[in-house]
Amino acid sequence: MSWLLTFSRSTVGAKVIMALTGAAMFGFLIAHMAGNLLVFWGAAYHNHHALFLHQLPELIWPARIGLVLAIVAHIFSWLNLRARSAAARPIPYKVSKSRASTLYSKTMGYTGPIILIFLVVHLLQLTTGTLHPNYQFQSGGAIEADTPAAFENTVAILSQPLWGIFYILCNLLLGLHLFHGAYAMCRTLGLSGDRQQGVARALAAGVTATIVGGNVVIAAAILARVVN
Amino acid sequence: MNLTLNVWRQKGRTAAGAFEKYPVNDVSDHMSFLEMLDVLNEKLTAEGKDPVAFEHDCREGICGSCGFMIDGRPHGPMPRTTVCQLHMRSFKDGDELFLEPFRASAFPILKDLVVDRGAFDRIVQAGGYVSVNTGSAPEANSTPVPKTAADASFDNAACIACGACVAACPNGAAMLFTSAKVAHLNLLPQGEPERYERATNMVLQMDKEGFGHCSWHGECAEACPKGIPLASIARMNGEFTVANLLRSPHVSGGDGGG
Ligand code: FES
Repeated sequence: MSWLLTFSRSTVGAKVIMALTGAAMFGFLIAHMAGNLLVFWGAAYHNHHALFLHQLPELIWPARIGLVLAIVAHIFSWLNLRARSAAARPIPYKVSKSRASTLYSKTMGYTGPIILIFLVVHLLQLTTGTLHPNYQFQSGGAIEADTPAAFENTVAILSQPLWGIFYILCNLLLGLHLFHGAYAMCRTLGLSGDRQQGVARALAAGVTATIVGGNVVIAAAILARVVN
Repeated sequence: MNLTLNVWRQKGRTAAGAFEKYPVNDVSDHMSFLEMLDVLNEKLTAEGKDPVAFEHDCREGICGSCGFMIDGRPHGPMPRTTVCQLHMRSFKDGDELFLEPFRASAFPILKDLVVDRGAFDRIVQAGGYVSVNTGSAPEANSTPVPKTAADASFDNAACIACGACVAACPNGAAMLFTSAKVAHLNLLPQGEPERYERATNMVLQMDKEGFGHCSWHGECAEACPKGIPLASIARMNGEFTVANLLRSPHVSGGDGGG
């Protein structure tokens, strides 16, 4: 196993780990957004979706554990790389001009931690209900009583202007991270040569627009009381 | 034209450095940047002062000796141009320029604008060779090389190891250099036997030298005077990953240099 340790600690291996864990999180984000689009069909559909997932612990728990591991590996690889790169240029330039880096690429180290904070807040509000003013469970049988009322809980938070705006802003910052992340992922995994650079960028834009667009539309619709 | 230069002066590896201001007058458009510095150094020498140390050799853009930061860019403002090939017509009268050495912990400053790029040599030693059987010379053309592979290999072989990629990278990474050296040999049938060892050993040596990681800013490829493509890094990542995850993970060290 020592080779795995060598690999994961190397600058290239750590980036591959960031890319693979990033890919797993992309998968989750797409599914999460798609599931939440059900708010537009109304409380019954959205809550039923929650109930459906709740009845599949053999799917939910491995996914949750996998995601936590992915996030931990993503963060640790980043900390390792950041420490190395800080040591690689201890004395900064007096004058430095960039030719290629973008807003997205330069802010990755800031948008990442912001997303982590947003994730914690989001989980405390809508998964555990700790930060929720009026966390509800579904009514019906025993399983229903054990399943959060996803629709009511979500609407209760996002219809408050400050929270609604907070969610939208965090999603836009998420978009900055995802756009560069998806592009870097394609390149780190060796999927794109220089001729396909445009393809990698387009793919990144498409995935990011889908995830962030979907999330923002949901939050905005609840904020504007179109969905209530 | 008349210029003001702010040059990083540092007596040795461990000495503290600082910028010093020098006016340079009557600079001709046709001079190269290094010729302009030669004029400054003549003057400094005549005044009994220490001339500005900078590295140079061919002055034709092919040896990779020259290179420092001119106003925040390695080799200055012209794309695909080494500082020895940079002409003063790229500047205008009254410009004030900052000249700094390439800054990376793996490139210790020797004096003024001169840095020690021995780290690059050690990366090449780790895998930049091919095994050739001794004995009678092989038949000419007995190893066919596809045209596309030859071209791609040649593009990477154009690397002159000047260090501009490291200097431009916000992370101080040597990915573009290392990947060019890996691709140069890995794309050819002659490089095939050591292909995966090469990628592994060169990347590990690069890490050992203390270079940073790639976050795909793309600064290196823009700064490269030889136009080494960013895709080389993607290729190296692939080869390193395959070498480590799918192939036998044994790293052989240096037993291939026949
Ligand atoms: S002096 Fe040889 S490349 Fe500039």
